[in-house]
Amino acid sequence: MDEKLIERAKRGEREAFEEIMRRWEPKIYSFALKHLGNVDDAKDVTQEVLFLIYRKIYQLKNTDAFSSWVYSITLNEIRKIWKRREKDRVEIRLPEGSSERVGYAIFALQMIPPEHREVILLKEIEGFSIKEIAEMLKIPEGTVKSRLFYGLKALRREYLRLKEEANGRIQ
Amino acid sequence: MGEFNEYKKMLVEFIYGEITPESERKFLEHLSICEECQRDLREIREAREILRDMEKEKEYPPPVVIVEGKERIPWAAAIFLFLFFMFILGFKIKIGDNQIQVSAVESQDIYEYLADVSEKGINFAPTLKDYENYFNEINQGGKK
Repeated sequence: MDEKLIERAKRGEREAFEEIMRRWEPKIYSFALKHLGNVDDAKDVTQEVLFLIYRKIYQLKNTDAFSSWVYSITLNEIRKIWKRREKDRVEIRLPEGSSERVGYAIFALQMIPPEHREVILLKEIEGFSIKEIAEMLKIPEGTVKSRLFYGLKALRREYLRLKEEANGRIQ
Repeated sequence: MGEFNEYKKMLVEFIYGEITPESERKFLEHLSICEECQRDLREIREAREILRDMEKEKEYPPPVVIVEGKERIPWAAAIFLFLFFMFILGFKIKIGDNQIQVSAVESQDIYEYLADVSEKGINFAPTLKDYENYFNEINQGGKK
């Protein structure tokens, strides 16, 4: 991310902020969608995060940390939705029009514990290092590694289970 | 679930290329004789493959979330709509054999009446007795 752009946004330059929004909106949306598996929730999270960036960017001391700061805010908003969802026992229907493999992958992601999903997506999709994830989530590096290990194994297990169930229904 | 030991930790570091040369040598040595670690490595690579597939197909339509059992009812919206329609269409109050229809406009009349007959002013909650008195006055050709 362009440090000068962030500095300009911090000074309240509207154009700079609009540019940040243009770059970050799809990233936040995609990240939230993989976490939540629901387009409306992902849109809500995106709007809220963009609003929070706008409101709080002037508080950001280290512009290098902009990216992890945005993901931390996004994760907070995602957690709020998950907290609300626990009471409702959410089920996810496979998306229409997408390939089966992707549908199962998104479904399987929703089936694993949220704390495992967080580190998997930050590592695999967003490409943060183990150290960066540990700092972002304020957990030891060892915990990040164990969550990646067990989370990925659980993801594969869920993915295969869903595929087996679907094959059973078709046969 | 096995213990998250030193080799599992190294396996994660190895997968992501975040391992020191010394640990890598130690891990590969162990991997050549440990079937459990070989299986773990294979499973984790398969899981990563699943995620890579998801990323290849960027423009997938989002999944639809449904709630098990009954659909979620937006209660606040439902209550608001109910009150809104009550306000627009009016509602009936039945007292004994008498029945009055109260609509937005009529309810305003009632409140004006209640303001007249009560020193409390218009900002209090009318009781059924108040409505009954209002209705009796209407029947007796009083206010309306």
